[in-house]
Parts: sequence; C-alpha cells; structure tokens
Amino acid sequence: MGSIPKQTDDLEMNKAIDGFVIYHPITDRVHFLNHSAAVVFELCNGRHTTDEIATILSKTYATENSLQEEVNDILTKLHKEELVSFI
Amino acid sequence: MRQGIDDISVSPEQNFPVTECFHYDIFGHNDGYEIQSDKGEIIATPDINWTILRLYYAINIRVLDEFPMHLRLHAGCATLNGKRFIFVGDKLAGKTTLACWLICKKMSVQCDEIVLLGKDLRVISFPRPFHVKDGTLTSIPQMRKLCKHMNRYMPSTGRQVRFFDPRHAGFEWKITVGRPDTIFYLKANHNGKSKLEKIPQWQMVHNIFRQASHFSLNPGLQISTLVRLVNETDCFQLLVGDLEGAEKIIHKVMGNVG
Repeated sequence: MGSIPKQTDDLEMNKAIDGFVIYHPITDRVHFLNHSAAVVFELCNGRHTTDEIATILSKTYATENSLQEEVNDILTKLHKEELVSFI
Repeated sequence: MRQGIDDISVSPEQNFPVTECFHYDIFGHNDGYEIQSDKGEIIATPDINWTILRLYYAINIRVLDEFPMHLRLHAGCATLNGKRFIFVGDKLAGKTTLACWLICKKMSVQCDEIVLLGKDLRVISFPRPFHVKDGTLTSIPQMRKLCKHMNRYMPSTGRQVRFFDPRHAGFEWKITVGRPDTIFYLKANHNGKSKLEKIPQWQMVHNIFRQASHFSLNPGLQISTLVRLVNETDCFQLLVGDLEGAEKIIHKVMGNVG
C-alpha cells in the first residue's frame, strides 16, 4: 500500500489521555481509538504514505520490527469507517 | 392507591427552586384506571400497580425532559468527606446493592440509577426512590428488615422492585450538584472479591458512553463533555464482589483524592 491517507473532513475529535474519541457527524457513529490507532490516525494528515507511517510508528514504539501489517490493518478499519480516505 | 402514591413520592433534602408543578388526576372505572395529565395526556391502565408505575414513569420522564442538553448516565452518586463520586455500570453490575450498602453504612448516597451530566461537568443526581430488587435484599440483611413490608412492583425490566426512600428509613438523603472527584465503573464480580483496576482512559470513555443516553441531535458537544469529564476526573474500574471490600476500596480511593 503506497497511497497517502488523509483524515475525513468535519470529524469531531476528542483526545482522551491515551487515545481518541471521534464523532463522525455524517455516519452518526462514535469511534474509540486506542493509543496505536490514535497515533496512526494523527499521521493521516495527507503528507505521509502508508509506508512512512509504518516507519514512524516503529520509531515511536522503539522497535526494529516492521509494523506495516499492523498499520495496514488500522488504516483498513479507519477507511471502512470513513474516518480516512486515500489520495 | 394512597399507599402507591406514597411509594413513589420522594422526599430528599434539596435546595432547588420549584419552577413548575405537574398535575395528574386518576380516575377509576369498571375495567381499570385512567391517568390524565395537565398536558392532556391520557394513560389507561388495568390495575392499581400498573397505574402507580405508569404515573411514576410519566412524572420522571417529564422531569428529565426539562434537561434536554444534559447527558443521562446510568449511574449512582454519593459523597464522602465532602468529595463526590459517581458509580457507573450496566444492569446488574451492582449499583443499587452498592448504594444500599453504603446508605446502611451512613454514607451520603444521592441516587442509584440516573445522574445528569451538564457541559460544565457538574452532575445532578436524579431524585427517585432506590429500586431495591431481591438480589439486594439477599446481600444486605439490614435492607431485608427495612423493606419487609414494602409493596412490590413489576416494571418493564421484569424484576420486582421496591421503592426505597432512605429518609423513611431514618437515613440522610440530600441532593446536591457538583463535579465528581472520582468515577467508578462497576463490573459485577458477585461471588468474588471486590477489586480496583486501572483501565485505559479511552476504554473508560467507551464504557461510560455505553451507559449514556439521550444524546441530542447534535451530540458532538455532549461527547466532548464526556471525554473532558474522564480526562479531568480520577477514574477506576471497580469489580463489585464482597460489599465490605468495595466499601473499603471506596474509602481508600476517596481518602486519597486531592
């Protein structure tokens, strides 16, 4: 996956201490993101490819392991819930 | 009928001004009763028990509708040494049983079921009688004595309840408004020991959210209020097992609250 994810416009985002609570006014759904999902979501600013996000996440968690699969999984779910789109 | 009306009447001490009075008339017919409200609403019921229950629900709904922007939390509320805590939980988590235990231990418990959350993070305990079910009486012998001669009602939940007013039993019952210092999210552990756990804040928001209702058509503000409440309040998950243990945990936590 080499495309660039971007947060959907007009989401209402609330930061919990260790995650995110997001209200999507169009779908009228509330989403609870844990810490790693929140980090990935914050990086969906339209400036990073999915590969870059995985690299940043590996550095955040100070691991040599590739987190590409985990990032792809999170992005798939965020996309399914219409919280991000790919540009 | 008079006893039934007494059963659902509340008498907590409170300093809120009276802003409105509701008027209900009850008429008896050959095949039942009719409740007529001052708003022109008519409710037909088959017997006295149903009449009392429907009247009770009608009044409570009308009062709650006066707070359209407050979130309703499925929670109880109490104060200890001037500090306030709310205890949120699903059905059968142990809210009423814990509330009654704490009342019997002379703690100031304000409600067992509904707490209204405003955008200023202050909570209002909804003053209705405590709904004591058989499970509570099994767990608390003192409550068995106090509720021995109380009428029983069968609401839509399918479990018999008794409407318990702490003041009628000689306990304090005072409703005040304020910000909670601590939130306990209750989970049932009925045959085990009570235990305190820390869980991620986002999960606490999720848990409390599931116990919140009456979001407005534009719920963004209420959701952000809930997140702010959790961010700015000490939160714990309390597994409710032995009631003495739960009480000790609450005392310890509230004693440590700054």
